[in-house]
Amino acid sequence: MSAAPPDMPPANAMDLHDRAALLASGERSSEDLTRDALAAADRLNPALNAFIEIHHDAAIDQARASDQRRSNGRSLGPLDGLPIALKDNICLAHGRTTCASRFLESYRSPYTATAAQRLIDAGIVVVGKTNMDEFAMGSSTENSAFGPTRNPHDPSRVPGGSSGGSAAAVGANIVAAALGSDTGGSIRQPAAFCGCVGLKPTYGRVSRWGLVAYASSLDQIGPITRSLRDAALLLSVIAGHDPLDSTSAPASVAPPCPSHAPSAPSTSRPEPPTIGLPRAIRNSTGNHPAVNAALESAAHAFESAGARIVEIDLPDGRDAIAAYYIIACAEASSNLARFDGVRYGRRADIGPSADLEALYRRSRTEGFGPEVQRRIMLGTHVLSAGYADRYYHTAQRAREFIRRAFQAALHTCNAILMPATPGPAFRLAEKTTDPLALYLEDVYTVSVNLAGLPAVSVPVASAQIDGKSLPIGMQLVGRPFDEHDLLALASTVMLRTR
Amino acid sequence: MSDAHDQNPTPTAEPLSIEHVRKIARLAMLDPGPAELESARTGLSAVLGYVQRLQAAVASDDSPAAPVEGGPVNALRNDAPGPTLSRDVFLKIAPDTGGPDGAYLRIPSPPGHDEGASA
Repeated sequence: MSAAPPDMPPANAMDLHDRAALLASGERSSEDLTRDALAAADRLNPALNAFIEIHHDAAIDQARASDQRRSNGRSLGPLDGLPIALKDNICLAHGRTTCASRFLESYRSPYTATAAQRLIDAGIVVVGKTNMDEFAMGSSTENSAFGPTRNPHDPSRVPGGSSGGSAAAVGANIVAAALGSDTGGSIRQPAAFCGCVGLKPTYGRVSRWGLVAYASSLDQIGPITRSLRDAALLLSVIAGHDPLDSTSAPASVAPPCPSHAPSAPSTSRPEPPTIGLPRAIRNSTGNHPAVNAALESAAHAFESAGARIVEIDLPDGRDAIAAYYIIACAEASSNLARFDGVRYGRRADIGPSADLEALYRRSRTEGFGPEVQRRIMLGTHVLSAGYADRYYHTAQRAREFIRRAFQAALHTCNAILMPATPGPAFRLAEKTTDPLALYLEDVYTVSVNLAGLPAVSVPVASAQIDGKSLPIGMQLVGRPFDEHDLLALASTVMLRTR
Repeated sequence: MSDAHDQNPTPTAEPLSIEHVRKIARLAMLDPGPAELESARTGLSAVLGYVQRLQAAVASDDSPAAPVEGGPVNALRNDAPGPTLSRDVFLKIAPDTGGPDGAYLRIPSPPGHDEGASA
């Protein structure tokens, strides 16, 4: 096969749109692209540990089927034949779905998640399942039963989490895109650490059916990509009402982007947009200097594009962290009750004389890792008699307060600009002994989940640390169910600051 | 607002006792050993100390606790039979099968019964 034209990036650094153009022109086949992705995964995974499972044979079969459709003039659309990866908490009726847990290390789902099925129906090739923090509980992908994932920009550092495997696979150019899930920042934070675009859709926009639940009122599936136009394209396919998800938005909700958007979302609008900049975040001493500089640079980019920047006040992100961990862990303690060695999960060998409760306890203690056990216990505590009002109900009130504050801000602003993270990727094991320090990594992301809003993290700058160039991501938070406008605004800052 | 995003939380609650953590673990159907219990006690105490800050945050808020309009709605389906996955789908991924034509899942004996697997 011939090389890419001189004005295009090398094939392994192209986004989905560029690769789709190669397929459409006949320059490359789906099997070519899929073999490239599999070879890159085989070559890089020993160092990065981005994949839990690589689907060599199935991916080639899917690619050949796509090539056959194309040669017969029956291509399924722009995604047909393009290889991507799925986070391993998204059920797929092929291979295992482990959630990076020993408990589910041999679990095979009998069905495929709605979001994944919609991609498969559009012709996508699934090259494998990506590593993650166990049951999506973490911000570094160090809480995986299959070992930590490493950051492709500096393997001594974390890729972020919990969708760290997906972000590392995209950041390392193994695949052009992957699906992740975001409960408190688990798409946006790893995307920022790995130099990718990470989109958390509005709650209800993408079906959660087949996503192994961590915190059901916060979880949302979304894309991690190399470009905003790819994020728009993938969202347009995975979004939409699903009667199998009781919180799926009704069909009457406006579509997220023009169906199968062929290009970047338009930035044209009748009036200049207003961008809110939280006053307390600007020049915060809690941020790395490179993050503060990138925030100012992004704000300047908006102003240069004609936007109006206004300072706003939002609830303290540290209060949001507190509310988030109470609510998320309370929901997790309920959701993970089904993993008991009988209904789901590896069953402990406790001998014939033990009772059922001992079987549950031993299976759960052997199956769950330390962080999952900690969060289950935290959730159990805040829901227990005598503590629910002090913790859980207080957190729900705080959540409502946060929702109202964002709603008020977005009444006057088209979007809110803030960092995705307080700093660039941190070192492996740097925060493993202090759970609270790790939780505070989510200080800029959890409010968005509590408020149910869409947000996108885009790479805007890099920090030179220890001789390595580490990506810095900015986050743009948008109005509910207005991902199209959000991505259009984000394209302004991404294009002007890179 | 002050510099609201510094990384130095100040725990304010009393640390949990080992007995209380053991009780929580029992409610959570977990059986941690002594070292894990102590680790859980330390970690939970720090987190619970941190979340005390919420008491002050919500005390200053006089807005109602009821959700605002436009929030997610839990839309339940009718409680009626619908299509399900076929028996073959489950048998294909089952760890073990048995019975006539292998048409049943073979499961381990319940605790207290040492009669081998039963179909």
